[in-house]
Amino acid sequence: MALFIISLFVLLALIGYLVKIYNQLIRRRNDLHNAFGQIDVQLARRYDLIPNLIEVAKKYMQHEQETLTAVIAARNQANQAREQARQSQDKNAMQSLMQAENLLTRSLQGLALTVENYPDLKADQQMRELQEEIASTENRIAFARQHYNDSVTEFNNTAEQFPNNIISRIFNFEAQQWLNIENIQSKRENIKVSF
Amino acid sequence: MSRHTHFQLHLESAKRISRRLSLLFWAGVVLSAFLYYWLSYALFFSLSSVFGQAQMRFAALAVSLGSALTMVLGYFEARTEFLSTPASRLMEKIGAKALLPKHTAHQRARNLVDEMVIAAGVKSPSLHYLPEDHTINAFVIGGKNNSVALALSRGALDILTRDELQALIAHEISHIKHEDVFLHSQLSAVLHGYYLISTLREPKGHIASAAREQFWRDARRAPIPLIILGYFGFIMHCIGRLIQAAYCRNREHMADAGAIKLTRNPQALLSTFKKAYALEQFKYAHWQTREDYRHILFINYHANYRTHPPLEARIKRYGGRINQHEIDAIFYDIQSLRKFNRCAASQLDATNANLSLISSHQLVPILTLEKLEAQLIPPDSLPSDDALFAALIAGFLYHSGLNFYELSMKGVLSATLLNHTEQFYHGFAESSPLAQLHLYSHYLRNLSTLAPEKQQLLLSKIHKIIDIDESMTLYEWVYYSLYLHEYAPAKAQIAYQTSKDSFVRLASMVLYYSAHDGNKARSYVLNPPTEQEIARFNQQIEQWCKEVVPYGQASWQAPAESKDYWLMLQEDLHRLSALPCLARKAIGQAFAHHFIRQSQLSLAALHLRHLLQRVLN
Repeated sequence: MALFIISLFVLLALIGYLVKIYNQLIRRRNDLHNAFGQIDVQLARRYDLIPNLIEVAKKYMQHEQETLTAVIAARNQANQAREQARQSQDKNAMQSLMQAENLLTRSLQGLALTVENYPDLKADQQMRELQEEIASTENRIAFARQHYNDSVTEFNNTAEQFPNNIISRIFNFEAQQWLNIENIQSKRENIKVSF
Repeated sequence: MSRHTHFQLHLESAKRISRRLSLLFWAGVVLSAFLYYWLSYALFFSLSSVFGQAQMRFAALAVSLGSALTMVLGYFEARTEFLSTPASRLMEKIGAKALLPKHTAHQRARNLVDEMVIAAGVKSPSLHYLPEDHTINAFVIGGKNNSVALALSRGALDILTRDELQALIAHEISHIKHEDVFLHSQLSAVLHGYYLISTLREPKGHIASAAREQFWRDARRAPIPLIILGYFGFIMHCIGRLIQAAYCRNREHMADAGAIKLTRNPQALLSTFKKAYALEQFKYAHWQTREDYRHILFINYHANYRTHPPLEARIKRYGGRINQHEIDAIFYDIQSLRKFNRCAASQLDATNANLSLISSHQLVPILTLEKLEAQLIPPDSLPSDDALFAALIAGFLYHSGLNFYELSMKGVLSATLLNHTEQFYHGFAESSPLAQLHLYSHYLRNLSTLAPEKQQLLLSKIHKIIDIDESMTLYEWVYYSLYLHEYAPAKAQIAYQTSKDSFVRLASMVLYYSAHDGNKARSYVLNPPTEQEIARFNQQIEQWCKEVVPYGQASWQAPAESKDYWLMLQEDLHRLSALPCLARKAIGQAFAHHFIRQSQLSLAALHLRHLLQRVLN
């Protein structure tokens, strides 16, 4: 009888422990999804800002129509790719979103370099506010990615350590992938030095 | 181990230590209850023999329970004070205001907070700023329903760059992430409990009810047991404060590590610390915080009960080094930025406001100079003739780039003089560049104490050094011109109209060296001042100014380091200094206004400004 009661308690404790692990895994995975959602929100914010930027830049940059249209085109393409990725969520859609994002980033960098040549535009109050917003949005996207990667690390650590890995095996918690920096090439471009 | 994982280790160890500390704290609470029990037991035992053993035990238990109850009550009282009001209301109580909606710096801060909130994945706090606090500071507090508020000092908003402000905000956001805000208020509440017992020794302080008032009126002082209990409580309170301080120091390290985890940019955090360190060193007047809020600040400028690790330690922890010259320079930057902001805010004439900055005697170069002067030249002893001679040569020599070997080979100076000069040379080389300039001027002012032959000799030595040296730099030229100006001020000359070429050449050079603000695309031109007193000369100078080659224009060649060029410029300067007073002043003002318009002055620009001010005024 005593043995039965003891083993019952041990069993209950074990079940309680397993439930705790399971809940922890669920919580971490939800954090992960939330972190991923945050990236999407920030990307949308960036697409919304670009038309404003172009509107202000147009006033000063009549001779740079190509740069401006390139940015607009890249923006529209990226927005489309985002919509698709959101609907289908398959790997190809993600791939094309990443490509469109890279293109947009590059054309924005080109615009930023061109703006350097227009002191009046740089001095424009509205432009300065916009530039702050855009810089902040770029940061937000980067930080959202960083947070996503941190959450992935945390989730993977939780899911793959013993004894949690048994639970994650049973309930099919897959280890997640980190978001990679796709365009390492662009990070390695020569830094412009000015005195 | 890679630098990247460094902060992770700090974070882990900090977490471990803080767990231990909180354990220690609660153990202290339990221990103190026991101590009260035994203390009161001993007290009763010694005071009277009327009680029986059991009664004494009971009484001691009652006392210890009573004190514990007082502590717990105090704890809850403080807790309700902290947690019954929303955090933003608490902020208003402290004197913080909500960030303004349409303000560039405030918008930037708002964006930065959003970024960091995303990076940390926490709830975003309500944002405030401290309009009266001109130091670099920030803190977070928690309130009702887990609401959190963040306050930034006005100094932080004004002084820090985007990256630095980001580091500061990341630090505060990691406090939120580690839930320090609520731990802190809990700790403060416990301390308040201790504090209540310590007030027992002064009866008047804490008693509110009328009946008790009556009771205490007979006894002018509290009964001895209560006083002893009170003192004991006071000691406990102090120990508690010390533990709290240790705990907070650890939490600060943890938040620093957390900030780097969020931004992955240790440099920004370091330069924030350095700026704060500069402010701390120069004792910049700071906002008086309520004592029970001090431990939550980003940087605690108040010395008693160090709740924060010293800034030096925080800088060194992340590989930073403190260099006094760098700190001086940072402080100088902060001062000029502050002046600039102030006149931008009040829509004042920026020129006038900056004039006072430039002539202000509180500036670092002068401070540094005074410090150096105190070290190098004791005020009661004027340098002897030989020393003065050697010092002036040394100052010039330093910038000419000649070494002593060359000098002795060419036989410019006698052996004893060479020795003497070498001493001054080393002293000179060790002082900061700005101090050198003022030191040299200081010696120059005493030039008249030298005999005329000596002055002549000195000049010939300088000429010889210029001869030996193949190139001439700006600094060398400035020192040379300063000497010449002191040695033989130019005689007045009426025909200022003929000095056009001199002016144009000189002004172009000045523009080249001083019109930096990192923006090559913009070209700077020299504008004349508009004072009525010198209106007569303005037209003339305006004409001249139009011919000054704008900085950044290709048609003007950058000054080569050729001697002839600099000697010609010296002639030009000499000619300008010989102009009639008003014309000279007008030119001097044109230059002064030019320097004032720059957002920052390089070392070269400062040298030029000093020279032009001396020669043209």
